[in-house]
Amino acid sequence: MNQSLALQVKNLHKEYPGVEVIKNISFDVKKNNIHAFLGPNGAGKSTTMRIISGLLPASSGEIFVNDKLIDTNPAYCHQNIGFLPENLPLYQDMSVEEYLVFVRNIHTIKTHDKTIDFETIIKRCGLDKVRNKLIRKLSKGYKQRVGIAQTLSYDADLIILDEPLVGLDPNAISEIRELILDLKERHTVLLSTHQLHEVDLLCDEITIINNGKILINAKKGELELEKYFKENVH
Amino acid sequence: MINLNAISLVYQKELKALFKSSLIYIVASLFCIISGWLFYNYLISAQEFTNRTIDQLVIAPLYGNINFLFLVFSPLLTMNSFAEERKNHTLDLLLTSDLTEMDIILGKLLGMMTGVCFLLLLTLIFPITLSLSGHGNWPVILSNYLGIFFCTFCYLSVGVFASSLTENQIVSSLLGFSILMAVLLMAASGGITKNYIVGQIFSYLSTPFHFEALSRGSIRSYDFIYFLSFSGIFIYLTFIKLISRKW
Repeated sequence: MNQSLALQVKNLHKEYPGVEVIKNISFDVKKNNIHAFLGPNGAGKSTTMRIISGLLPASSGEIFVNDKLIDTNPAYCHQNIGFLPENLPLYQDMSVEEYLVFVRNIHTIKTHDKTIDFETIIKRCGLDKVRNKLIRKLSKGYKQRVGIAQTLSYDADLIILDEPLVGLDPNAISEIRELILDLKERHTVLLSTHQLHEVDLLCDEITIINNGKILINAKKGELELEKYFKENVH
Repeated sequence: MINLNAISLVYQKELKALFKSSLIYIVASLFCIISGWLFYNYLISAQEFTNRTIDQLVIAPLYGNINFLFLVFSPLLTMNSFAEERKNHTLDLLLTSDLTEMDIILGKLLGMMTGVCFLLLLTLIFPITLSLSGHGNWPVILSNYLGIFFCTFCYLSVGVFASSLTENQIVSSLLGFSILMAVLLMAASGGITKNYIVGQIFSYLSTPFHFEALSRGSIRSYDFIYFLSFSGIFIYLTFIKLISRKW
């Protein structure tokens, strides 16, 4: 038991017939930290994130969120893990507000917690001007904000962001960066990205995965990321 | 376990999406044109036969054809249900929420059924016209509506299952239509075989066999058992498909 950890991944293993995708990986994510989860394409980042969020089952291993085992507490995990995949799960024909209310409702069926302050979330994510617009009419940057806002709409403790900065222009990247930094106050963020300079700006701790194995767990400043990647990641 | 509150959330979302999309209005327009044209033709040709009733000349063939139209339109109505959720990655959003797979399936099916009821409402003009001219046999008409309602529930269950198998809406609708045609053809196979028992089994497995009794106003409990079992099997297959991601 460790009260200061938001996420504990222990000996996580995932294999499909004939292919080992994740090979007994273990890492911890501290509360109120932004934790980078890095690796080349096909390293196993997205699979790990999908297992943590409950979309895929693990072949073996344990995952604890706030000290609760996800296998035995699925309802707790649905309410406390906010997963934003690389391909944003947005209903294009809903307005921003309609979408956020829908996401809040489907995540609070068991708790009936409707006390979440939408106004604050909408303002915090800079969605005030577009709250009544259809999602299909929003720019990529705004869509990304809506995606992050949906994880806040049910007040998830652990927010998992898979490549949140892909395809954004420099202004949008800077805005989303500010938003992610702002999340740290009340949430824990597990973030995957290929943009190594963003890791320096955003993250407190780093885990690097390659070929399904953890290469290193390190704190910010302990690693020269680009050099490490060139030398160790193939 | 089934949670009505959860089903209602999916149902409301589906209903809004259905009536916001142009598809339902295109289907409704085609449906009205074809069924209106059929009604007019049956009514005109009924003048030539004086020894048969309006039930036999207009109501039975008209509702039989409306039932067939639903067989054709159901895969079009359901092709989006899971295929689009997969394509837009919103299925992940639903599956990581408090909703269970069964809540999602039933919410979607009920949403589609409401769309079908909207289309059926448009056909009320036919029995009302007959009734105003003194030919309304409402028990038989209501029995026909009951038959169409249950048959369409079966068709939609097949369509939703087909949609759960693919991301492509066209493949989904073709697959759904093929399964429904196979079920329809079982009735024909029942007539071809020389073995009486095999023939009866084939007939029993086809939806027209069960609709036919209802279209005559004959309400038999085993028809409803068939409809509920048929849709139950395809709902269960959809459920299996959705939970298969965990295997």
